[in-house]
Amino acid sequence: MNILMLMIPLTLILAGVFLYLFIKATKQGQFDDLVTPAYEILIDESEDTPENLTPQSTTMEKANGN
Amino acid sequence: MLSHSFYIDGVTCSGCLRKIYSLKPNYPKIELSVDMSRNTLLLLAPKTESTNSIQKDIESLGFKLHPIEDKNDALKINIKENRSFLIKIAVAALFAGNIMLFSVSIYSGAEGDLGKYFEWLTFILFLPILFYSATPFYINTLDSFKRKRLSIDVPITVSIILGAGLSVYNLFYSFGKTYFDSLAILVFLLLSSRYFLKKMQQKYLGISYLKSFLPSLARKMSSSGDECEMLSAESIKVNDIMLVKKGELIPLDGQLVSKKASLNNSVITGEARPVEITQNQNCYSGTMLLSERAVIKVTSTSSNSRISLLFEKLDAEIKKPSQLTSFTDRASSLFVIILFIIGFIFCCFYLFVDPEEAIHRFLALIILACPCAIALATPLSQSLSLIKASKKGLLIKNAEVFERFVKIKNIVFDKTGTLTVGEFKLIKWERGSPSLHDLQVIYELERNSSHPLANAFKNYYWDHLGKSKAPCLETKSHKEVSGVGVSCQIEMDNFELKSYKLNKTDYTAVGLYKNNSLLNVAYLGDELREDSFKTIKMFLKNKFSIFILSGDNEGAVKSVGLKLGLSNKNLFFNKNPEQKHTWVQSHPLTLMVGDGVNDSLALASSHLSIAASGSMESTLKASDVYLSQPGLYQIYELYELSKETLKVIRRNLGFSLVYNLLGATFALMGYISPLLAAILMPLSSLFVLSSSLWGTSFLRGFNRASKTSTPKGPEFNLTPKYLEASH
Repeated sequence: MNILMLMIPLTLILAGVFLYLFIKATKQGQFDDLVTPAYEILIDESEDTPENLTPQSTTMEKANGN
Repeated sequence: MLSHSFYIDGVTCSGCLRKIYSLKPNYPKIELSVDMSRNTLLLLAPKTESTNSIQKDIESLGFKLHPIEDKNDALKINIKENRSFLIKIAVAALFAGNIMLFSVSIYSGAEGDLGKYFEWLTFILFLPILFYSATPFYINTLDSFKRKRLSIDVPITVSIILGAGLSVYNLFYSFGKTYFDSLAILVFLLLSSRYFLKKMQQKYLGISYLKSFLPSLARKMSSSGDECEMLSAESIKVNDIMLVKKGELIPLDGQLVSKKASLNNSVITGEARPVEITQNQNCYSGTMLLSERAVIKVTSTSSNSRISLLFEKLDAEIKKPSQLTSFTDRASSLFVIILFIIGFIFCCFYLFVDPEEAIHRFLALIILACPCAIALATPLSQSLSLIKASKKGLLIKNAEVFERFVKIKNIVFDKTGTLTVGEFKLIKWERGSPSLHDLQVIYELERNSSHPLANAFKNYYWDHLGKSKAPCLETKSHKEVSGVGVSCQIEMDNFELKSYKLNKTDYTAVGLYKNNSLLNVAYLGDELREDSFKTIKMFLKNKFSIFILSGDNEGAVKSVGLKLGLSNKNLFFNKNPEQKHTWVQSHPLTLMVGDGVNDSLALASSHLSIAASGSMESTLKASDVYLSQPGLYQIYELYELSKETLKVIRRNLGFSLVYNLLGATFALMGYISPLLAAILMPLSSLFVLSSSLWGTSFLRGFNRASKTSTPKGPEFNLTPKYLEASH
């Protein structure tokens, strides 16, 4: 049972680390908005980069033209 | 970097989000982020970069932007509060969880040194909860002592401190058991349920959408007058000149520079009929321009415009904390406190019999009778109903309204503008409808007059022939003699419109003369609102006493009373504001419905007050509810809503009281251990929660019900977007 004397403080330190990480994440604003990120993930990142936008927009124009 | 925040309308799915984010590459210097949980958009731009064009682009995608004036940084404070609350919950969760681990060992029989070690561990782990997570309860308790007001946080604080004190005493003197586990769970659950409630309220009520229907952009004219620039309305200064096009809302208060303009003033006056203004007259933001285009000199900044100030007041009223002010709330927290006192007295006596068991039972009582369920019972159902009401266009300033409405015995209506439309309308012609030519003549006669009767004729013309078909007859020697009538010459004939003597008093009659011979007589009067009769009938059915309290003369009031089926003894006429006020004061439990300044005194003194749509500012301030759409039937709907809400609240409270009474009895008799109590407590909260969300079948169907009061002209429906049912 003596091992408990070591294990319990260890678990508590581990818990403390997680708590610290959680607090840090909260202060950075990770939990401010729980709605938008769920939608953001559906957006292809490639669309945002300017290089890929040019062909994108031309296809859009084509579609509109037709 | 400068940050600009906006409320954004219409972002509902990832498609919308993609559209907005697709603008990003065009503006590499501007950072853009959308928060869908708060419906806000944040633009971070370097000081040199203007955000006007990106705003315009976003608006052209179909999302309306409404700048947030961060005077008090309410949004940021709100976010900060949420974060610190979340951290408190996290701390409570972490330590409560770990405490539970060791408590299980203690409960299952850890003894001797190991048991002591565990007990000390639970104590140490409890300290962060006691001194950090539970602080909101202490702050609220102190606050309620300061205000000398009972609050649900008082018994919570007492139980935490008492429980912690007893446990520490036990710990040091090896007297009995410690209860850090139960207390930790108590704090964690209470915090979580509060956070949930807060989030709910923030989502629907916290952020004001009131301002959101004002346009955010204005067209500023350069000094030379030939160039226009789209700017955000905030950046426009007093004395700037702006251009407004047909069909647009005027973004800022101002003075007309153009010769003439026709406005829909319904935002301010409630009247959806066009109003003509001439040069140098004032026009207010939020009103819609109906004529071609207008040049306007700005007289106040966007945050000082009449409508913004009005909304700010309304906003402040709505945001006032309404917790624990209502009777049910106070009664229920009193109940909890009494329960505690009884338990405490019981335990004091039982201490002499079996000290350990006494503390054990008292703690079980504290945990079980924790005001959790009671604390949730009322506010939750109230806020849910508030949301429902606001979707129907009823702006309710505080949640007590539901409770008060159910107690109402008398309902008093103001006549002009409340029961009636509040303006003259052509009721009938004596000799049948006039010919097209006659109508055109009448229009030409009244074209430039701003007399209320003239507006009635013009409205009649527009209603029958459409606004675009203004006649263009050639008129000569046009004359308007106030108090008599108007006359002019058209194609050699002399036409006249003048008052026509009539025996009956409830109509105003006007005769149309051609070369001094009578052509036709028009009867004009103030019409009842479409749903007045229906509303009154429903209220009479529910055994309310209905009164009319009007400043108008006897004949006018009696004719309205007759149409609504009210007996003469319920009609009061020739009342000035003070008389209305004393009348209302002498009739307790009265609901006053009014719209004018002359009603505001009576509104402020009545048990419950409702401002009809189109009310004046002072009326809005004085009343508890504001109908943002024309019509009275919403009042009856509010009554039904109140009744049903109260039903849910009673169900919740009834359950909580039974639960608490039974629980307390069993706990004092020693059948319930603190651990079992800790399990039962969240279950009771869960029941209250689901009961509130489930509501009643009426509440579930409230916003689905067919629109009973559709405003007349759809093009004049300026209802803020948020009031329409969300998709």
